[in-house]
Amino acid sequence: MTAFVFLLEILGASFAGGILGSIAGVGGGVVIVPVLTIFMGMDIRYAIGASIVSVIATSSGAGSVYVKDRITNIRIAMFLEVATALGAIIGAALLAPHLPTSWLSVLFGITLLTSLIPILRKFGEELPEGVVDDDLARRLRLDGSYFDKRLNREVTYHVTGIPLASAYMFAAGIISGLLGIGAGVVKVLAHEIAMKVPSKVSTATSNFMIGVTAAAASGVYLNRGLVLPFIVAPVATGVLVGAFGGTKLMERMSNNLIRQVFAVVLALIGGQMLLRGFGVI
Amino acid sequence: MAVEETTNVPVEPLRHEDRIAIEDVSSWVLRIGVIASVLILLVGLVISFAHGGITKHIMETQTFDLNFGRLRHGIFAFQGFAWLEFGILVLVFTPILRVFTAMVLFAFEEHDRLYTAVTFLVLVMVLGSLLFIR
Repeated sequence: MTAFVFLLEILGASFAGGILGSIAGVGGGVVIVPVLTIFMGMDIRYAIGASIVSVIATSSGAGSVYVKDRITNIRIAMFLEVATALGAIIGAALLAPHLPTSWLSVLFGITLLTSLIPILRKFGEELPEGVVDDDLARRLRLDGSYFDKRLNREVTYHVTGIPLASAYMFAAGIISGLLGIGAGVVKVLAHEIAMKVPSKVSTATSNFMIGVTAAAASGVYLNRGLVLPFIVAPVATGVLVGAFGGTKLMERMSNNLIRQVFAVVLALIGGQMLLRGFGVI
Repeated sequence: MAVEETTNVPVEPLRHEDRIAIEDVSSWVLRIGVIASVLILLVGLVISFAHGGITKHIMETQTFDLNFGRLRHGIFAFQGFAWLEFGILVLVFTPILRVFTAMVLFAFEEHDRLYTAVTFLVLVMVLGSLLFIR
């Protein structure tokens, strides 16, 4: 019977991860990994393996809703997936065997906590203003619009900073291959800080993209025997149901509130990375 | 003039409706893929728990170990663990299938060479990382 209770506990935690992930534009590893390790005593490598496969479920579930409702900017997603997939390959194949993940976690944690500053500065901003397309965004026709259910009108927006965003996406790929979590958070940062699109577009487009990054990174975890199917099954199920529910909430939230939820997730992942780097968890 | 206008007006939106939108196809691919994979995973869980003998220890130690022959046999023999592995494979290939269908639509529906090339590149890299990295 304990195995069954264990199953239900994982299901519940993953449900929460799916809701948070679909609102913030991340996969939900921020909830899943600490619950599996700290509360259930699982080895962190297996927790990350379960998380990375389940990110695909969050991404596909939430992504399918946002892309159908035309919130996702698929041109941004498709173009920047090149950088993130390349990063995932380099991270997993070339860097992973040579880099110590402890100082990498510390470095990543510090970077995330530092990026809280520009996000906090954007608090109170509902829609970006005065954004001018950069050359690449114009040539790639990345501008977009979506219908905002809360503002009850069509919102058109411009896109900038594509070179910087590509660098962020490349880094997101490397991080997903090396550390297993945090790829979504870097993608949202690329949207918020570099491309300056509305937060709903950040969340939706990041959610859409992380499935591909996770699929690329999951190969390594599957090959190394770090994926536990009995754990993935309840995690993926919980996360998917949570993600579908989360999309209903997200579409009715303000851009500003979504950014605030993201800031909390950013702080949590930054903190977790520091603790991991110093060997606390 | 008036007749010409009324006959011209409906043509434009109709043509637009006929176009297969990449957004809609992506949405369906993702939705069908992820729901199918979770259902397969649940079948795996139900079979495993119905057979009994599943402990927390087994859940935390039995790892994904792909062997296509064994997997195919296991699926037809209704072995819980084989269904779990099958569900994971369907899950992993869902976003990859989404990239593939987008590539096909960019090529044949939108006639957009740049984005056909972009999605092709992504597809090659993701499949490469999945198949060749060990």
